[in-house]
Amino acid sequence: MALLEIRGLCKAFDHVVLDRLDLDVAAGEFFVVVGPSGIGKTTLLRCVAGLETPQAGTIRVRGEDISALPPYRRNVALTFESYALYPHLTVFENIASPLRARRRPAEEIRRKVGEVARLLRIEHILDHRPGEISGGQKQRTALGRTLVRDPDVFLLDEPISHLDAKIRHELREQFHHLEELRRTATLYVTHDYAEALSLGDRIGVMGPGGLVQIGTPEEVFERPNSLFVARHLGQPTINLLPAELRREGDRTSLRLEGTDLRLTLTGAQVAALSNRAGGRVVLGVRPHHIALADGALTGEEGAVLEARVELYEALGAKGVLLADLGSRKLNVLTAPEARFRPGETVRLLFDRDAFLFFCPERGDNLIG
Amino acid sequence: MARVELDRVNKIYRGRGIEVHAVRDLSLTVEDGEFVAILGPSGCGKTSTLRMIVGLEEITGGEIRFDGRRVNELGPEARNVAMAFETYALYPTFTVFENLAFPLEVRGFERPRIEREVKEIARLLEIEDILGQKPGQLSGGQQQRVSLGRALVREPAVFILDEVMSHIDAHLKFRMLFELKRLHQRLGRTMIYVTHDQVEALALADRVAVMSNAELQQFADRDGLYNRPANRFVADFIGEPPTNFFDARIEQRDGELLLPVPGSSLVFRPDGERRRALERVARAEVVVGIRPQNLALEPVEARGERIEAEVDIFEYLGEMAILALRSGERMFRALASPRRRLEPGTPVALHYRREDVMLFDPATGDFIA
Amino acid sequence: MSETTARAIRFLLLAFLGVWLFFTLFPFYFQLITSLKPVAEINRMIPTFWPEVLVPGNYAGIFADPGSLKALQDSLIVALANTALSLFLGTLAGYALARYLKGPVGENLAFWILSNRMFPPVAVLIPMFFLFDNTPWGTDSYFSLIVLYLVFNLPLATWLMMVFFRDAPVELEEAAYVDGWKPFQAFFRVTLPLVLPGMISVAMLCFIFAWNEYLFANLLTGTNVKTFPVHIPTFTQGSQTLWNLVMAFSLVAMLPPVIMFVLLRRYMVRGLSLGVVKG
Repeated sequence: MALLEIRGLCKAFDHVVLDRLDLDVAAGEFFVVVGPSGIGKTTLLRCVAGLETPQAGTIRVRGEDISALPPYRRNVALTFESYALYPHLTVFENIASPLRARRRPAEEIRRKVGEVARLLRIEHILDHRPGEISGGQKQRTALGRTLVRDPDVFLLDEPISHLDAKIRHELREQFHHLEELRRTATLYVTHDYAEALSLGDRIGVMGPGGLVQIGTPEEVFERPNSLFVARHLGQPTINLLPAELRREGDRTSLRLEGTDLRLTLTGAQVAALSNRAGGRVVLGVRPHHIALADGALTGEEGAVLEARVELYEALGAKGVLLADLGSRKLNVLTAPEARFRPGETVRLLFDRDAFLFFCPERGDNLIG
Repeated sequence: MARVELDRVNKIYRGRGIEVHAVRDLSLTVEDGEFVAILGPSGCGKTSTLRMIVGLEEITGGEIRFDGRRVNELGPEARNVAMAFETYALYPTFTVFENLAFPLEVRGFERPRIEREVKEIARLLEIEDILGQKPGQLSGGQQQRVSLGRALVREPAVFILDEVMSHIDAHLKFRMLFELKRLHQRLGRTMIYVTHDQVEALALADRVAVMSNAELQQFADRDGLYNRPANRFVADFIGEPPTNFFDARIEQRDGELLLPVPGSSLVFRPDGERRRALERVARAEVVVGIRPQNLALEPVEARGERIEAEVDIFEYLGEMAILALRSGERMFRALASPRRRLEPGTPVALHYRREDVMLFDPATGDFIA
Repeated sequence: MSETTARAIRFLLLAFLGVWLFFTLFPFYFQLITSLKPVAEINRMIPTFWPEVLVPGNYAGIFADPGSLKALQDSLIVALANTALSLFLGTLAGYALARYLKGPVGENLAFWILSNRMFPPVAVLIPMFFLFDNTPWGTDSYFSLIVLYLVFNLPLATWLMMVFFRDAPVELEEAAYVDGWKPFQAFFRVTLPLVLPGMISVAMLCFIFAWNEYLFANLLTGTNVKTFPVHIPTFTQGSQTLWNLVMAFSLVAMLPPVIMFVLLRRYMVRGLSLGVVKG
């Protein structure tokens, strides 16, 4: 049985935010909800915490319906995106707040706050007030206030999004190590797909109204069920090319719309798309599934296209090439030491096994 | 068009009994038509530098020259510098057209000329279709373009951009960076871009001035910053994931120079050039730096070296994966292919090229080789 | 801007400040020296700006009248009680308006409450007189003044506290609920400390009004209860007003608000910077 069970959750303000949302999070599971800002991720957390009253639906924790309970009677811990630290209390008192609310003995409070502070490496700032500490320390304090408890469910709202890249790396690793989070169910919300892929045991991609796809990070990134999911995950964004299936004899090829360029498909893909032959599809290719073909390549015929370099940027661990196919532009991920000049011609080798096909009208994945 | 020279520029803020040296002996030259980024963490002095170039802040010491002419005493209006702000600072009650026309009206241009120039800028920035709208109706990207347009319409000698990307959503940012870069290529104006984000700086600029603690750390292009960082700060600040650093001992064994890392089983082997540099400084200890992308799970080439470690975390990130690794009590990171998940505890061998080992002075942090 | 223009502007600003300081501080100076002059010196056609004789005994003189001490005591009772009531009721009402009455209803109600302040006080004078006359305590009582001053202080306190509560982030209260605090506990532990500087400012304003009020105090009270503004005009000798005693007594009467202000000032100033959640 799932530890957290959400059924048919509906919430609307002036427009519908959550429409009959179902979600199960198992004990010990780290579930990440990822989606664009303003889509309703925070609303979901606030419904579980009891800060919003849903119009319909039930929320169960260990089988017990908590939908009607006020927030202070639910045993859930929530971090706020804004941290919401009490400015007039010290870091120690901020972290101790949930324990004081439960009237725990002073000795236990001192011990538990000390443990959490050691874990998060904020022991030296326990006497400071939130106004005197850095963003990363505020974030850790907010996290500490959550971890000090022994809740049924952890709810974390964009806990590291506003921090510098370096601290984000460090804290992501820390989340992997935190045993406290693995003991119970965690619902983590973020707009950063990398964070979601890195942390989630399973992730749910949220679109208008609810979760569009739920799966392991690999499933969601490599086999997105819709254009929405494909577009939202990945940097640079996935290349989406309207194309037409052409059957010529025993060969089926894909003609890219607005060009004369053709790509041949694998046998399995042809079989899966057979009922759409002659029809139009949207081809999805991730920028890291396009390589630069050097020299004379044989045997890869039908997987290579020529393009003109429009722009090239080396961006740290990778390079991004904007390639011009005539009427279409492609993002290509390259090794960082590559060098290209605008106007130069390059040959692009497509990893056909990684091709994704979407329905141009409904946007759903035609093979996945 | 202008070449901007900063010659031993200093900025000191004096308060009651306190004195803050915000910029210390900063010298750098931005060539005519060049795109330069000033990069650094908050409080490094980059904003003070920018404000001195624009003329919003008095220069405490040193000289700023535009095309060889001293501008220290000139106000911002006399320097012909345009600035786009982090917050866009568009006039909310004006339409896009009126926002763009404002700087021209201030200068008393005739109506036909104003219309002609606004239209031209709008075409360049592809915002012709929103000229009649008010800023509140526009998306973040459009607002940013209008703000750029308002700065450009004055035809400034120097164009200054202050953290203009920090409010743009991550997935839009990439496109905006490309567009800004293309704009610079088309206009050929001198541009100075101030940011704390290394990805933005490296993507846009021909050269990047890295600042920290009020001082210029290094002024170089991407290769210089990556391969020959001036010091440990630059090596740590530039690159994502951040560079791995190890405190290592220097040992001679069987005629070979080895750099073992205490508290772990790691041993690094530098190439000849680095070895000679080490012999010159003659120290017993050294800081070894190696970038995560220079540690590969597959052998890199015939002469590649290897170290061994244990997987601590496998971070799947879609296009790639980051491995958090452990050897003894030392933790470090490497990049890996996302295709195969590695369980924690898996022993792995990591390959590197000897020339990718960076060496730093443990006391000063300076780059040795 | 060149260095010389900057210097000229700075000089001009300082000159304005000097003139302003003279106009605001001179009356206090004149009050002080008058309180130390003998009557004869005050009655001269051309006033002296530097007293020729100092008579510190004037201060002892005012307390020769037992009514003086009683007047200060009455003022203190009325002002403190009224301030406490205004603050208590205003805080609760302001919180309710800020949190539970959003939208046009709350907006209109809040404006209506504030509009009570626009009422000309004289208009309620006669009705109030009859109203209090029918209470067991009568018009000439602490009760009448304490309650009457609520007419003026409560709208102001409510309105100001509402504004302070609106500025205190709701998220902090929500964080407290999630921590397990019940609504009243969350209010006292989290919200109230956030608006404390605002409350102190409101208390100061209420206290000063109740302390200095003359019109109503003069008409409603005077025998059983006599606040200091009503007591001041009694410093006369025949048809002669003893200006030196008047000035000495008003200086003494200024002390409580000034001391309060000095003691509480640092809490008031801190107020605006405390509401930060993120940053």
